Amino acid sequence: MNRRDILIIATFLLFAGVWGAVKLVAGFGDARDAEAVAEISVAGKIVDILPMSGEERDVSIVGALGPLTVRVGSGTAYVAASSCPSQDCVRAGKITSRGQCVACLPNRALIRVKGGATANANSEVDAIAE
Amino acid sequence: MKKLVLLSTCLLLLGGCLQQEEAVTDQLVGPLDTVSAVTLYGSDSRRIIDEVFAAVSDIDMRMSAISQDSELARISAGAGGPVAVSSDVFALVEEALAISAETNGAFDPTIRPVATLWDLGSGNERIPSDNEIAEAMSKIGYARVTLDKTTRGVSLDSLGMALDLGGIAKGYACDTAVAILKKNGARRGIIDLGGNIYAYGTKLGGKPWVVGVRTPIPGENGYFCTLNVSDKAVVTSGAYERFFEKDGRRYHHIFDPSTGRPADNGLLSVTIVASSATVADALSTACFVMGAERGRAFLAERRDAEGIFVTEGMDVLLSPGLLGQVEIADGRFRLAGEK
Repeated sequence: MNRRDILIIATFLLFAGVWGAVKLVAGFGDARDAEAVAEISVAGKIVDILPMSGEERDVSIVGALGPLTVRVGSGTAYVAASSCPSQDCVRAGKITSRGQCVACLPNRALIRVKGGATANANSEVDAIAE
Repeated sequence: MKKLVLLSTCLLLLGGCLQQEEAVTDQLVGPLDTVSAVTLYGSDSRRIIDEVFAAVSDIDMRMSAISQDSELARISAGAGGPVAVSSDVFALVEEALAISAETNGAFDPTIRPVATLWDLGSGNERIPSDNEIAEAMSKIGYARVTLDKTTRGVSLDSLGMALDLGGIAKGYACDTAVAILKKNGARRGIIDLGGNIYAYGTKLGGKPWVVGVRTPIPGENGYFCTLNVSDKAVVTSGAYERFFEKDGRRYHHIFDPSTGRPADNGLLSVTIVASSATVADALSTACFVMGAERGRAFLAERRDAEGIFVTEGMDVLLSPGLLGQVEIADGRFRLAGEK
């Protein structure tokens, strides 16, 4: 193997390495850059998807038990009012990061954050015990 | 030149590896009266998560204390005589009773008549009278449950008693999920059954998972401390999620079997770290009922579980095995002993 062969192999590996690095960065970038949205579903069916940016606005949905008001905006989503007796969903508070969710089990309603930054990226935890 | 080749190769391999380790996350709403989420890394993750969710739904169907069709409901309906159950229900009842005995009844799977009386989450919560509490207390007691291994029979000794595995079933489902992950060769992931966490394997590169513990203040979704774990369950019981307030006082859902009232010992939450999620689930309730002093002493003797106790004064007390392992992430809380 002469000096020219080594140069060709090195060049190839350099391009391959750059390609690998680009994919690596692109992979992380995809996760971070997609706009955060609140996906609202009832009984497994998606009923609304709303960007979490902008001013807070209320969305009224009909759950299995009755109406719910979901407030979305300013980077957060939460259940502002619910027809359920326990009000656990209202007490659950705001969700902000990709992967977080809040549920109203009696209404079979689930609000979850898709896109945007993960709780990981913001807070450096992989899960929260609660 | 050699360094350049080495760097390029590393970047290529790293890029390739991470492409294969894409996370798959899915959620299941309803079974076990909660939201279950599983995150796995690897090519077969979707199928494994489906298998986990099928198992969780099956456990819920057979072990729910609420459903009229569950095996638990049959045991309660047949109080006064033996009811034959499936092997895993029998094994879990046996484990629940063993933990009840170890904790001197701080954990008690027969607490349901008391919980039903208080009726938290119904919208009709009220403070029962002393007579009503005494009446409900006459229907509880883990020592009044007898087991027959040969027939897999479970007997409650009198009518009106009821069995409720709600304080341990999520942990059991978590351990079942771990067994499914192992059987399918999954390498890493997070199982989150309504906040009962199991950190499976390690993160890419061999680092432990970082688990936060929920800030025990109603309406706050953050965490007040973190700990690094691998192949461990982290389970919290707290007074901040299900409660009602009357005359400025909070009445929560963790009942003290010795009083028939919400445990009142100055704690906001207890978090247990253990290899077994089943044990962690039951002990988080038991230690909350015991209080910080008795709970820490109990854990120090038991040695297969560690605990984080948060007092109403925002002090964080640790069992001996967690000293130096917990990092406070919220300045309102302080580790006991630190100024």
